Amino acid sequence: MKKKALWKDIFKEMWRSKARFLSIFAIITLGVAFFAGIKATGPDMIDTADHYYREKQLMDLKVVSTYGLEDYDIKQLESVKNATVRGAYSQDVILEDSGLVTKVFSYPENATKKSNQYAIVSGRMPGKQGEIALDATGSYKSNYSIGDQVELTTDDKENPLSDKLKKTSYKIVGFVNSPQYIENFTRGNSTVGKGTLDGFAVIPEANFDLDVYTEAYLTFSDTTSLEAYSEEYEDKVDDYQSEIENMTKELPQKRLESIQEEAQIEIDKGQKELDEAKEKLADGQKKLDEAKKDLSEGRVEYEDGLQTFTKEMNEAQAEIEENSKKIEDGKKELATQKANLEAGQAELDKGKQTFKEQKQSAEAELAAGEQEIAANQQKLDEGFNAINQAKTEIENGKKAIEEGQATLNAKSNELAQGEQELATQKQQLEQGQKELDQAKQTIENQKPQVSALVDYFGNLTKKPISEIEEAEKAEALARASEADKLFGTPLTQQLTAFFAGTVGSAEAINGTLSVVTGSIAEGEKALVAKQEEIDQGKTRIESAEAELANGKEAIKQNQAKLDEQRKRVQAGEPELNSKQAELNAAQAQLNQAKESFEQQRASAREKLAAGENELAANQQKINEGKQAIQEAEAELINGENQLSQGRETLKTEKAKAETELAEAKETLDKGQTDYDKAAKEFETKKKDAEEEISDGEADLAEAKQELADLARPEYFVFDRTVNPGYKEYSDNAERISAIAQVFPVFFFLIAALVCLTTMTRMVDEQRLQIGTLKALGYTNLDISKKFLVYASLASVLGTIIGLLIGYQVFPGVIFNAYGSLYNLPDIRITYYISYGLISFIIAIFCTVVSAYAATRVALQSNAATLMRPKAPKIGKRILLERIPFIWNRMGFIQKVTARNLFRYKQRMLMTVLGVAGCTALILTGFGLSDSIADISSLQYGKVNKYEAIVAFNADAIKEDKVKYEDFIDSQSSIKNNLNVLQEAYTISEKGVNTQDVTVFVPEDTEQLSKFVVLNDRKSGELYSLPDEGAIVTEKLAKLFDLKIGDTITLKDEDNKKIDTKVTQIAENYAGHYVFMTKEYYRDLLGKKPDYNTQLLKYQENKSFEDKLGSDLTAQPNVAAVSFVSQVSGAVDDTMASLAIVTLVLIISAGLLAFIVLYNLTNINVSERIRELSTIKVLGFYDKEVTTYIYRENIILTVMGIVVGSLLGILLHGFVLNTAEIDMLMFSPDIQPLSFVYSALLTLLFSGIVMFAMHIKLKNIDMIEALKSVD
Amino acid sequence: MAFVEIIDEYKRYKMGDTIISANDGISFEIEQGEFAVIVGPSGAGKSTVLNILGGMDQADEGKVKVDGINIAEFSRKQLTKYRRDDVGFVFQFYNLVPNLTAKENVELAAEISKNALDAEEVLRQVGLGERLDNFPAQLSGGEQQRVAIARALAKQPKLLLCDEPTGALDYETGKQILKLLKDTCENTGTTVIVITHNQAIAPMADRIIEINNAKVRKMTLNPHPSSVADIEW
Repeated sequence: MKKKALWKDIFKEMWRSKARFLSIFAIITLGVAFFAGIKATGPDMIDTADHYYREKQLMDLKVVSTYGLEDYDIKQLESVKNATVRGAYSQDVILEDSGLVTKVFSYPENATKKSNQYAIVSGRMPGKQGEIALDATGSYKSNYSIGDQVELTTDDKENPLSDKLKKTSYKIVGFVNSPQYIENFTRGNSTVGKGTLDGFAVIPEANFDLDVYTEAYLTFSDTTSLEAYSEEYEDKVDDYQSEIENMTKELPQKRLESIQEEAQIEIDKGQKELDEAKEKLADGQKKLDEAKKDLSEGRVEYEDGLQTFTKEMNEAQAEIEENSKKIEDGKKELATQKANLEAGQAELDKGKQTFKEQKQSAEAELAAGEQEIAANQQKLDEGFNAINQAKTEIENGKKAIEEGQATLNAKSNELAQGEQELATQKQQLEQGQKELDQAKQTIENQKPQVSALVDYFGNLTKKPISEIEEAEKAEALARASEADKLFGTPLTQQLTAFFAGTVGSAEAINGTLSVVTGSIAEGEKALVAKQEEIDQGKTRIESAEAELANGKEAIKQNQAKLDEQRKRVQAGEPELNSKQAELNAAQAQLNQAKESFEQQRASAREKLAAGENELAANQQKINEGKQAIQEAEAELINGENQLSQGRETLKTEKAKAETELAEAKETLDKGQTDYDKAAKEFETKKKDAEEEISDGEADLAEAKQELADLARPEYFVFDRTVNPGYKEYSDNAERISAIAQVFPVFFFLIAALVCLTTMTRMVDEQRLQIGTLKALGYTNLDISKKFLVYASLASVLGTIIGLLIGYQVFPGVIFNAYGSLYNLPDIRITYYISYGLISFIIAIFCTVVSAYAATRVALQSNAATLMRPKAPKIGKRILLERIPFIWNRMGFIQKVTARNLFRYKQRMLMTVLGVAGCTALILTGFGLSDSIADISSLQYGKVNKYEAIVAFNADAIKEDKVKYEDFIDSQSSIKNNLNVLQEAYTISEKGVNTQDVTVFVPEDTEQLSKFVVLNDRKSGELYSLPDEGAIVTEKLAKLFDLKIGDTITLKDEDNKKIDTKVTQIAENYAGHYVFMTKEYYRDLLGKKPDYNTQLLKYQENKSFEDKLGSDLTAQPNVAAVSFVSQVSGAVDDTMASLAIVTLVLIISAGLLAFIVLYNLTNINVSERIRELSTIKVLGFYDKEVTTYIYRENIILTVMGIVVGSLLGILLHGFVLNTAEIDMLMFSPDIQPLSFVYSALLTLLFSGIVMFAMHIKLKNIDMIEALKSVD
Repeated sequence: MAFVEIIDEYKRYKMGDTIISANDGISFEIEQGEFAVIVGPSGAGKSTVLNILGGMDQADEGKVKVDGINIAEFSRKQLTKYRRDDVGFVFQFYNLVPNLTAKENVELAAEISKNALDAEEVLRQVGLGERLDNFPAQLSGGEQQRVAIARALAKQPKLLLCDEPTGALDYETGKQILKLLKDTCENTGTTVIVITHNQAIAPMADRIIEINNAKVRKMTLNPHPSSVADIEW
């Protein structure tokens, strides 16, 4: 039976109701795409990682031992079935310059076993020694580039790097990723530097210089086929892990023995050393004792010496005293004798004196006599001399007088001669006077003549010649000749010429006249001069005459004097002669006296010589006595000398002895001091040594104990979860899968609702046809076929398209969002049959089952019933009408709306649920975005108040620290700083991932609140650090379900456990912290906190920060600086990528909202088409018609939004719980704006749908609708 | 000039490849206050005329003048306004809003009309004073039709258009409805146009327009219409 017509009808129906078909198709597509896409994301992520691991042969297990691994161990490990073992080296180092803490791995050259290969990002792998490839994370790439040389260092001074690596300087040849480190930010903990690794590096194996392997990587041939993270894989690896763990319990027996042997040797050596040390100590003690004995002997000896010395000294002193006395006696005797002698001497001296006096007086008498004689003689001589002198004088006087007379005579003569001369001159002068007087007279005479002449001729010449009469002329001529005679002038001649009329003669005449006048004046002048001359001569003569008179007078006087002198000389000569005679007599007398005196003198001399002789004899005697005394004295002095010598000797000897003694004493004392010191030193040293010895013994005991404990050597077998990020990655994938559990279910639920209503409606619409077909005899199956095919076609097509879109879009988008967190190759997309099947089943279920259910209900009625129109839904009073208080206040339209709303309860519920679902999804999307985005601003704005963290070098010297402090002090922009200890610990508990926890201990508890705000997130109550116990952060508390009063166990790297009590739980978003005071830390760990970081607070811009960064890094004390702006920036970046996930949610939810609303509205409209047509016919405008139906829709939408917001909060909370990363706490609050956004978005979709409906309503064929019977 | 004037009106429908003329040059006129009956067999095109006259459809050609205004040239909106204020409709299947009571159904029309009458009053006039708050489902067919008529009358229309108003009713009820319509016409002076395939109704009309095969075959004026009670079918 072909039933061609039926099939035709089916396909025609699809075409006819394409909107309905499309809406079912779309909702199924969306649901499937979302479901399959999100579902596939997790597995795709796992698959991508798995392929990466497989390609890079990531180790399945890693074995390390506390003693490293020897070849023997490797061999043993290789004996495990299916195992491939690679021994490898690693070493934690610090890169110089950048201070990055790096784990250096060995890279096997040309080895066949190449587990843990690297993915080259740029450059290449290190090929030869001295080459290095670095981690391809940002911190390395920003600090280094290929071709750079990098120095490796360590802060462990006891074990320098050169012991472990052949080289410490490497050339960078590439940047690589490692399957061991798929996460970009954490690299695990480290034994050097700040305690956490910044990254890894790879160097050739040959560059390592270690005796034993540090680790062994194992891969198994039968795990390669198993997917990473899968249960099969984990079980398998677990089996191997326990197998190896079991093996390692026995494995190292041999090795252990050798270690024990070695250790025993060491211990023996130690024991020996200890014994030696003890022996040495005993030796020391012995030596000390000997020294003490020596010292005491020395002291006895010294005492003896001192005694002897004293005794001898006393004896010597006594002897000297005796001798000294003898000498004193001798001296005394000698003094007596000397005194006698001196008395004799004195007497003699007295005699001598007397004699001397006598002699002197005699001598004086003699000398006086002699003197008298000499004086007399002198007087005589003087007399003679005076006489002689006088004689000479007289002679001279005579001579002078003669000479004076001669001169006087000469002068007299001269005078006479002068008189004569003067008379002559006088005569001449008188003569001259006479002549002069004559000349004067002449001139006086001539003068009137001349003036007359001048007047005359002057007048004449003035007259014209013609007027001059001959008489006159003659007279004139006469006069002229007279004048010519008188004065020798040529006047006549000239006058003649004048008269002759000769031109110029008048002038010549006048000239001549003036000459004459001039000569007269001249002559007068000359006369005056002559008179003067003569007068002078007269004066001269007068003075000469006076002189002459004087001369005569003088001569006269001189003559008188001379005459007097002559008289005197002539009187002196007789006196002189008498005196001469007198003198001659006195001379004679004197000669007589001289003679007697000579006689007297001779006798006196004789007497004196005798006295002198006598005296000399006495003196001789005394001198002899003196000699004797001198000799005695000499003897005495000798004795004294000897004595003093003896004394001296004694003194020197004493001094010497004393020095010796002192020296001896000193030596002794020094010996004592030395001994004391030595003893003391020995004591301390002994104490130390004993301590050391006891320590050594303890160590030895410990070593022995350890040796004993070594029975189970520490072998650790790690699986891949030891790799940071490995587990977290699968967690993330699982989280996505968790989201996939909720969101798509929601989607499908809504899709199913939509399908159900749609199909029900369709069946309702087709009621008549169903009845007809039934009446025609078609079976129920045939009839329902139409709907089933219709529904299944829509869902199958939707599923296929949905799967294609879902698989292709969602994993890629979400994986890329995680891309910044992980370094993994591009995502591998798999078309999972399972999800396809599930999608298909759900889609079919939603549509076909609902279609079947709807038709089944219809088909239960018989054909006749079906052919009749379905009884219209009976109008009913609604509950609200029973409350007249409200109902009566409602407008007509409101009443209509209210009644309509409650009339279609099912649809109302559908619409509200659909809208609510969409709102909830959108809100969750926005909420996730909020929660994620808020982390950064909350963590770095609200909780952490500082701007930068400085990590210090662990091995910094004091100067560097001071330098650093000075630098910080010098930065005025830095407002505040706080030293903080930040130590890495872990907390683990069964069923919870092990968490890295930072123990945070501020140096200044009071200051902490300025840097980190500890408060309760909800109440905002501020916490301060408790004296006992610690404040933990919220996420940590959440993960481990901690409550106030609980105890947490922190483990450090050496697995040392620290228990602390939780006193408060503080708001925090990134990382886990345990805050405690330094006092509590000290109590807890028994050591002072070593502040390894400093927090800085300032308010500056980027450029300041850059400068500060470089300045700080230049400080030798600073290991690393990180700025909150950078950190929060990085977090922001990460979160921005996560926000893409939320965007996907929002878009999907939005689409869903649109489809749901459209569908429901569409159904609503088609169900009520008759009613709408009626009101149209009644004259409702298009707008009013749309409003009529949309008033209800808006109310439903608003209700949906309210419900959806509540639902959204729940959904958001659920998604947060499942999607949260362990290290981060998402802010559980949804921003109010997000509610607004999701509401607005929902309303927007509702609006778009309304617009579409408006068009549709406008085009309703009211005639057609009203005609038909329904 | 007549109150309603249809001049040379055409209306064609496209059915696949063929064009069917529902109205093919229809012309007639009706005076104000007349009770007119348009009669013809099914598919003759009488409903199309009514739809065009009622502003629910538009003519392809010709003039449709109501009270001197050519509504054939009206825009959608003008037509809506025309329906809203000037025309009352009564359908074969009443087309009441099932979710509204009798009173509310009337109010639905009255709410939007310019000079509407009080809903209760109108309902009382049509004899449903006791059934104001009943839902359509609680009313009999005749009562429903009365509600429909009340709804139409409530807006005081110029024209009352009735499309087979008795088609779904039994004989007695049908007669009662017809009487109501006739009384309304007489009492309120409303021009009433009734479409029916039932020739028996024709004698009660003032004017009878016979339409057959898309054309007006005959228009007769009946100076002495018989009373409703007298007609039988």
